[in-house]
Amino acid sequence: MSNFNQNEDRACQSIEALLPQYIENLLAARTMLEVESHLTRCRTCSQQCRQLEATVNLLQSMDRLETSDDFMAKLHAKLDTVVPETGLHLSFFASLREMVYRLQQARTVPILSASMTMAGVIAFAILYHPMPLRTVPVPAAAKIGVEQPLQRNVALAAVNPFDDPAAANLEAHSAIQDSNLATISNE
Amino acid sequence: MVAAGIVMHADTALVQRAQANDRAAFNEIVLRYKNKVYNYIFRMVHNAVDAEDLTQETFVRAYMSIRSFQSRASLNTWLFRIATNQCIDYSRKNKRIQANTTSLYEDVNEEGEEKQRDLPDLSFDPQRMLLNKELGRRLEDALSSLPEKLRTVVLLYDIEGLSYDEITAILNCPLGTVKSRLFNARSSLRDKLSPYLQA
Repeated sequence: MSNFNQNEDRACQSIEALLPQYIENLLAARTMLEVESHLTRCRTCSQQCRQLEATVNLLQSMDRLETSDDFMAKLHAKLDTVVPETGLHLSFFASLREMVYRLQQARTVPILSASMTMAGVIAFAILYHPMPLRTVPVPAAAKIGVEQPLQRNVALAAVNPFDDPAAANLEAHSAIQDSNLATISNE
Repeated sequence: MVAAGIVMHADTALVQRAQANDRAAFNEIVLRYKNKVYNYIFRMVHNAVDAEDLTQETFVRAYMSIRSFQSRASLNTWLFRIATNQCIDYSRKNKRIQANTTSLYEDVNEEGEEKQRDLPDLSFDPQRMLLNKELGRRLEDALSSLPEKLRTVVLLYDIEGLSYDEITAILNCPLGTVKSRLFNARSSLRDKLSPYLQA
């Protein structure tokens, strides 16, 4: 088979694949022109296209059948014997999905989410109370170590309020500082 | 498109009433869709009595489960899905019978192989009406000889006028599959009808 024939065959195959969209005008303008251009050149494809169009037209114009006259009467007799399901058999997730879908359809999601956020903030403000500080239990040994010197100092201060070793230390320290300052000023 | 939207809106209102046990609303749904569903089922099963029974069964099922109908799908799609499932069940039950039934369009030779009948050349028939009638009959035969999967798609798309999206929802298969089945079905019908189409 020559290259020309091979190329033509390939072109015919691609055109045939496009014919359904072509007959329904669903192709882009450029592709539409390409198909039309091929159809004017190729008799086989042109015939295929006409036949496909005729088949679809035939299908679309097929006779419409109607149910028998007593269809409704028979149906009502059957419906009288059955009970509609309650719909409770829907799974939880199916119900949830349905609810979300309905909300999306109603476009209420932004309003709803804003309201829920507001409600959350208000509820937090009302219900939130800072936790009181917890007292950490001190081990008995540590308690004795802290309490004994404290009690001793309290006892000393009670005997002679001026005989406080801490105060004496502080006094000595300030006297040294004063003498240093005096020395500096003299210089 | 606007008309479709109006129909869908009217359907939604009817469904809501039917879900609240309004029998008159369900009656309205049946009157609106019974012929569409019957046409589809008849061309799937090719038996008027069975088709009517299956149509009734479709509406009985719809009535029973109307409360679980979710507004995500259109009523049209939902009913056709129930109808399709009815046809599949029917086909399973009657598989053996169907296997033994031959289409008018096809014949079986002694070796058991199917061969096409020689079609009469109608190109010189002066009576166009007769030709159209014959063509219609041949089309019915060609349709019934299609594999069930291809027939379903071509009936829903070309005869009932459903969209690709609706068909993918009914058959629960990808869009590409629906398109390729439609292409194959139409090609097969075209090949079978080509002698008549030329005439």
